[in-house]
Amino acid sequence: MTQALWKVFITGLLGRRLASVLSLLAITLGVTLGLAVQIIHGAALEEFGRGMRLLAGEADLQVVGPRAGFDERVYLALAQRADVAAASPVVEIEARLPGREAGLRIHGVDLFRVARVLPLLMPAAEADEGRLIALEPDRVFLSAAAREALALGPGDTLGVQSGLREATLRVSGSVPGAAAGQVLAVMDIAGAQQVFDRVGVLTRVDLKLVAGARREDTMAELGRLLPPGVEVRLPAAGVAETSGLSRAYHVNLTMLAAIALLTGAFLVFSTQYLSVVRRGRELAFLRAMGMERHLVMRGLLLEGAVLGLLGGVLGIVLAHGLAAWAFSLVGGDLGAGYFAHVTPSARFMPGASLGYLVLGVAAGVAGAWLPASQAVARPPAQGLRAADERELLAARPRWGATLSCLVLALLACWPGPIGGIPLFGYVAVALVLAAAVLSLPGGVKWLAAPLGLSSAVLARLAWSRVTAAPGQVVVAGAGVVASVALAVSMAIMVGSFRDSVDDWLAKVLPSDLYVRASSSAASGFLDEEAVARVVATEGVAGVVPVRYDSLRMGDASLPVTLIARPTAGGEALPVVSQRKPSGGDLPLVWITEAMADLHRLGIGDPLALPIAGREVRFVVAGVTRDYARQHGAVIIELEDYRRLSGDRLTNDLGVTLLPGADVDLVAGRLREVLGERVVEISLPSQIRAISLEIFDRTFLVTYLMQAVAVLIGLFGISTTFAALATSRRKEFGMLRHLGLKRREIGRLLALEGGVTAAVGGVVGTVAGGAIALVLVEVINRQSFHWSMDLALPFGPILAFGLTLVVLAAAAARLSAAQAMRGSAVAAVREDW
Amino acid sequence: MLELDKICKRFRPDGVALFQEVSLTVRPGECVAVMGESGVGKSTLLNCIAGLEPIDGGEIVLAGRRLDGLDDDAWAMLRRRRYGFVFQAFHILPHLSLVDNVALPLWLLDDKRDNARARALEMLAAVGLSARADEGPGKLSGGELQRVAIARALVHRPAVVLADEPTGNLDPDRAGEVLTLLLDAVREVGAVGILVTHSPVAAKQTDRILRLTRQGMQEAVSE
Repeated sequence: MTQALWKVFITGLLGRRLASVLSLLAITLGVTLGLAVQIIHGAALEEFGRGMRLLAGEADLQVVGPRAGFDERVYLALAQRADVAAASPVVEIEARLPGREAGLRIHGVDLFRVARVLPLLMPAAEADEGRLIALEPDRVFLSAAAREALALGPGDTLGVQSGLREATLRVSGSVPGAAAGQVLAVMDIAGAQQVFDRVGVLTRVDLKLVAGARREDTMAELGRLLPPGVEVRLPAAGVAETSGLSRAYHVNLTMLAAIALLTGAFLVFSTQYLSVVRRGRELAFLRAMGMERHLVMRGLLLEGAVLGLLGGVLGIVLAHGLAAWAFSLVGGDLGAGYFAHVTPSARFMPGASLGYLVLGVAAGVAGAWLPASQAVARPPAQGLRAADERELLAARPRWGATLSCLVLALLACWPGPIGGIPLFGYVAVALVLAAAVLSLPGGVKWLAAPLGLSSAVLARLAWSRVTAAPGQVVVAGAGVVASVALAVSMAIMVGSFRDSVDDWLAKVLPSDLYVRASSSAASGFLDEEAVARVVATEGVAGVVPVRYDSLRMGDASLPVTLIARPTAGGEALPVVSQRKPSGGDLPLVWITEAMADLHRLGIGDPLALPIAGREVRFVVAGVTRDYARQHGAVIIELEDYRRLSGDRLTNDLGVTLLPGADVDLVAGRLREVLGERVVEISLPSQIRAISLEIFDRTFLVTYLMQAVAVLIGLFGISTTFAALATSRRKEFGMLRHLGLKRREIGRLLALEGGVTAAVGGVVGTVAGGAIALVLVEVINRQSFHWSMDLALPFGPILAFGLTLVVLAAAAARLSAAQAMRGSAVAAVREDW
Repeated sequence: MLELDKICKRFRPDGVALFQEVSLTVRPGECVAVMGESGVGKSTLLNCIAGLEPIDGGEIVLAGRRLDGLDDDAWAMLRRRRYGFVFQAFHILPHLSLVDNVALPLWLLDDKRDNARARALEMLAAVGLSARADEGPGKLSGGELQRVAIARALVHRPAVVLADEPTGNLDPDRAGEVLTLLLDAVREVGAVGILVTHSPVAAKQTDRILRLTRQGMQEAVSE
């Protein structure tokens, strides 16, 4: 029987090569995109994790605090504990290197302790230097990758910046334990504290426990003893923090690939459906010959599975190629900026590949399922009579099912995320797509109605055809609906997102100039004296200082950004909602939407923040928008922060100019006053342009997916019309006898193709709008926790729709050309 | 009047003649039957007359106008205005109602919508199917389908009606009825009727019986 299945069914695939190849390609594309995203993200994360593990060394636990660091007395307390075998204090500094684009991560370590906990970070002095040279405060040791990146060798000097001050370090050796590609530097902890103005401060303590001590017990105990804002964690948690940040982005991309795969399944459905229609007699004959129903079913499903398998295998190969290409082009985070210091390479991922192969086969089988079950449900006697493909394409309207899907989609919008992933949101998207496809048979009558009013014969013929055989529109248009829905929803979502980000940038960048010594995470800052010099500069009317830190909230969540700035009672912030605080003496805090979501906070709620090792109670006064920090941020009044922490430094300084002052002139003066090499001075317009450029790069990959999906949709129209034109040769032959010109039949098919695309386009656009709502209000909200204002890019959508209709008409016309090449005479004599 | 003068059709690519020296004159309102062995080119002859296949020699003249040498589009326009077809396999479009199927040639001639419908209804009444005018063809028997096809072939009052085995798919009783209907209708509109058939019974109902051979057309009165 296997041989029969093979001969009858699989060789059938070879018989309709074009349609088979196109369905196979659709599956290939879905698998390629999905798996490539998986490989890229997986490799980047693995590489990043490897770096993190290397830096964790043999530590059992890590004590970490805010970015600004914590009191080094914490180390003394830890080192004296009985359950701690060794404790290694670390000051980790993102050093700004004046005059260079890149920064350098410097690990300030206690050379006597680090050997026991983190031996890989042990520096090795050059042969001509003394053994204790590493203890000198101005000596630095570079990993091989850092030497290469900075083009420095032994004996060279390296300028580093602390605040606005430049210091010079001397390269005195290497870090042999660092992995290939790992850019880092090591110096003595005391030297690092001195050079970078961190005396008395640590950023991390690595702990090695005595044999027999339980990590969980120590963690629990330390959790109680450590000051607020200082936490103990497992070394692996650092990796999890980064993977958590990029996971939502990654899941979103994967889901887009899934939609591409779904479109592929639609295409298999189209080609299988038409092939079953065309082979109606052959299948009935096989049944009459004694082939059991389930065997026919199995054979037809096997065809889909073979397409899926071949598409899957090809997709796996292409995905690895695409991943390698993407690494070389945009890096491990597809341009999104999550893995800046990582240089991963693509490698074969057997598990994920197998998973996607299974998905490819599933898409093939799913696409073949409905046509197969309809084919075997048809009594053989009926099938043996002259086949009427129209009968099989006479789909009934399914308004009930459409409505049910929409109601279920609406319900799926309510539940929250599962493990941070908006699974129900994606279910809602799938349901909206299903509703859209189900609405096609009923919808085509309404949408094609204007065509029926025309007196032109081709319009009337096309209208009669699509209304009498709406199944044709379903079969050809399902792929279009899916791809248009995807493209339109992404266009609306990305457009809304971009507009909202633009508005937000305008709101958060009100000053005329921005001055900073480095990014807020790196070693540059402005002290009070520097700010005073700015204020005293000619042309400057006022300044808005902003100080950043990161806070650990003590509940194992990701660190939260602290922003201390003049708030003007919320007036100066991009507030989404706020309420006049009710009387209390507590200082006010504004929280970002992500903070409100992740920490379940609302206006009026109390919030304790660990500031300078003390827990300080605030009350939430409002919720603000923040598209830069998806793990949450809190904003407090600068004066409150300075009073509580005693920290009077500034990271970013907004500068307002006097009326009539020339921006470039003032910027030049500020560079002179503060030092050209140690400050960055930007115009808000520059910051905005750079931010939007990063935004566009992040979404580049989604545009690629949209284009691919639309291409797949057009494939659907093309293959369907090629197949239909073949099965309708008799009809066209008769029309030629009645006096229709060859090109008029071409126009008829183009018209039908255009109508199909238009109906698919309209339904897809409406569905796309609904999906965009789900993306904006549910999926983005749950993945990234930020809201955005809906913007509808009508112009581009209309242009896209018209292009699609024209392309579909051309595709239908071209695909049908083959069928029309035959003689009208032969066609009317065919008697099947 | 339709005149064929020594037309010839050759096989491609070897150039062997399928038939040659075929001459024939049919007056308006006259119906002739063309018989002959299988494979002698009866259907091909009809196709040549309709411009669906080119001829390799001779002349075709309809109402004094030479037709051989017309291009593809001119033939299409000519078929649209002046030809009607009846096929063995009916070829009724499944997605059009009966009245729309019949009106199709009028649509092609840009007749006003209402006129076309009224004329198609008249034709359906003439073939006894006016009660089912707005139904689809799905439930019709072979005989009924051929009646619709006859109505469609004559609705635009063509000058030439070509019928290729119009009763080949029908049982003898239906075949007789349908053929009578066809021939009467052709005579009534004053068209030239050419019927290709294997059936002597059918042929006898026409005005003249001709036999096609490779060497030409002969009158076959004895049949």
